[in-house]
Amino acid sequence: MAAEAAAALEGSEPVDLAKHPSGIIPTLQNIVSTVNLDCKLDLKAIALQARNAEYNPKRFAAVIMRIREPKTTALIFASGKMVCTGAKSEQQSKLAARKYARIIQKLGFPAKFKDFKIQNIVGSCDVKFPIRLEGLAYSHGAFSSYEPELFPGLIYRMKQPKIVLLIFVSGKIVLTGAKVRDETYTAFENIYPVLTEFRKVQQ
Amino acid sequence: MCSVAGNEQCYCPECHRTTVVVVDHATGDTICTECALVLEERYIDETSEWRTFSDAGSGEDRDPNRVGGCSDPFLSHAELGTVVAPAKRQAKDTASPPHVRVDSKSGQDSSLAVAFRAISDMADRLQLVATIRDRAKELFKKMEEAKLCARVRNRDAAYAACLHIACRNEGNPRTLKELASVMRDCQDKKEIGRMERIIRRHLGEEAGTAMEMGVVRAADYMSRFGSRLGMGKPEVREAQRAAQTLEDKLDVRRNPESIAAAIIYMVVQRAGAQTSARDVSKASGVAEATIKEACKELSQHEELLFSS
Repeated sequence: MAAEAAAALEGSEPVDLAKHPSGIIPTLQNIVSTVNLDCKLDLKAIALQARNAEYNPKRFAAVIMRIREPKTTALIFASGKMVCTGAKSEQQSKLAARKYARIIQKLGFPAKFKDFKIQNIVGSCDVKFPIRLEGLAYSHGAFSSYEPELFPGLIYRMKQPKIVLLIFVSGKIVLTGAKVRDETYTAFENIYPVLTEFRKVQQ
Repeated sequence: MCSVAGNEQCYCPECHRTTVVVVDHATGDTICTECALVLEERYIDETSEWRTFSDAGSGEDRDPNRVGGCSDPFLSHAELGTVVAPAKRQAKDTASPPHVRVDSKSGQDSSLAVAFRAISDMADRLQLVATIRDRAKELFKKMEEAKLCARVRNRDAAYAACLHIACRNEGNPRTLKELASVMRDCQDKKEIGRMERIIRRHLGEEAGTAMEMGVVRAADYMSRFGSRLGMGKPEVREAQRAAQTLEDKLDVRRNPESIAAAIIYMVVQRAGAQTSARDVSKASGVAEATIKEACKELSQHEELLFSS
């Protein structure tokens, strides 16, 4: 199994099996971070001067600004708070937030860069075998919520670490709610034995 | 219609001596058995108003209770009281009308009564048995006691959610689409799902096994959908077995209702019946195009599903 996983990842660095016994590393898909620019902002002026900004105060009370590299979206509020979404790694999220702060500074506001914090990390991976969600929901009833008439995935609320997993019958897993990358990895290693236990065997 | 109330004896003025008398329960008269003279009228009958069949027979064990149990066991204040409506004002200068005083307890009961009537209506329209209806009422009463109804924007969704949980407790799940169809505004089934989540979160711990309603499976719908189409028991059993095999072995990413409808359609086709996809759509509530697409997907695994 480990050899197969290592072979499947040809071209990339070998998997650290001490840290990832399953042989699978979740891919980070989205990072949400917040930062405090620590000054009042004139959103209308920002929207008029910046080319990559949209501002519709009737719909949402923040300027929505985008940059191409790293490909992210920022919500910039009049209070000076900013939310940065769409990055694929923690470093990219911080880099993008710094770029937005620099843009705000160039528009004439005395923006600082205080209290940068990663708020949410979304990861995903594929275990590559189908899963019996009914059996999993039944035996892990305290943590599971599976309503196939409303949503096709099983919602698993892990307690330690505090991560919410979406488990689909196809074997694709989404992990959300982490504030540190290792929480995502730990949650996946916790759930992987359960997934293999409820694997669908198609003869 | 006379009965002997013991061997009572009384002085009869006509016979000029003490004679045996009987009591006519219909008229309340006490009558002399020798000359039939009515000795006393309007005798108050203190026995039970209906016959009791206690094991000990008549005698000391007879319960002199004259009334039955309360009409609705769910309502704690099922009194037969009335409320006087306020009189209409005659003129501006007259005194204010008498105030109607209603305590908060009966207010809660009236809210429960409205909810119970709505739940009964929904249950009747879905042709649910009394067990499921009563369990839904019990669940709603728990919600009321836990003050959950204060945060309910949609009362109909709350009733439907209680019925859905009760159906699944009894092992007879109904689709959310069916429940949404009996609500007044034909609301979205997501609203019912949201209400169920609230109920489960707040009543899950104290309600114990009431919240263990498992997961909806395609096999759960087979007997009901099949009976609407007139399928026989062997065909229903074959369909249930196919649904179980699909759940165990195949990666099919579809709604359990769609899976149930598709399997029924395949079973009917294999039996050579003239049932069309439209008939299956009518019986199951699943769209015709969805049934055909699902059948196309499942036909690749036909040997696996229907091998005995």
